Amino acid sequence: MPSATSTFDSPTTRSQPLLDRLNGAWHERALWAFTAVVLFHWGEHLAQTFQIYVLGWNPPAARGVLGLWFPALISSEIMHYLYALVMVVGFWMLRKGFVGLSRTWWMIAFWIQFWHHIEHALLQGQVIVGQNILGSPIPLSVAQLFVPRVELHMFYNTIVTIPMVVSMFYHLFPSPEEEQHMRCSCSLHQKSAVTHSAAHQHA
Amino acid sequence: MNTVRSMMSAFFLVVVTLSILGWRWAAGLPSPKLESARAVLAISALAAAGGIAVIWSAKSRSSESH
Repeated sequence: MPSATSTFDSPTTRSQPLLDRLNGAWHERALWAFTAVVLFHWGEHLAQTFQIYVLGWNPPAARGVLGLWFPALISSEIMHYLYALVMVVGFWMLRKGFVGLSRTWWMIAFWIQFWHHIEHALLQGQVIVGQNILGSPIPLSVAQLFVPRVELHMFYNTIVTIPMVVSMFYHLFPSPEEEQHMRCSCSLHQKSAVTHSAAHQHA
Repeated sequence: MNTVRSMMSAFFLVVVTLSILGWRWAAGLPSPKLESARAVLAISALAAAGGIAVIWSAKSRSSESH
């Protein structure tokens, strides 16, 4: 059986619709890219919370790493909204590459991120309209009525990322039944089998 | 498998650590922000601990013919 890596840019792959490619031969690379974006975003959140909790900075001054040089990255609601949107679209577009348990966990992450995205849409809506709910001096989301923003969005990112990571774990190590239905090259069992097969051929 | 588990667990442990630090920091917040901040930080830490439990309790599901 040819590995999905070898079919990455084959004529057959090129003739497939984009979504089929993203959930088939391109799924592994798409997930790497998606994970890189998520980890980069997490890096900024971790830096921001470190600045507040450990260094004792005031929350408005804690702008992560890039935000220190480009404050608009933190202060602009559109940036937060676009990231939330990219996440929702990414979760949705890459879902069909997952099967079985990994698909369940992936969709849990999707639905939580969907709500997170609604919260950011509400914030962005107040910026567009030029009026904040309840006469607040700053845009407010629903949960932000009760929870401070930094803790709230760290919480949202946590409860989205955890099912996403668990999903990826089950995707990397699928059951034999699940592996039969996978069209991508993500399974580490498959890679291990290819490596062992190659080693036996060389021996 | 354990390498992947360890890398994922390291990330979860960072979240747990940050939640603990946030819990301590939140002591300076006025009520009811203190309680709400601590509630979401506690859920974050518990969820991260739960994530560690899930990935380490998952048995190897590969076929041994590999």
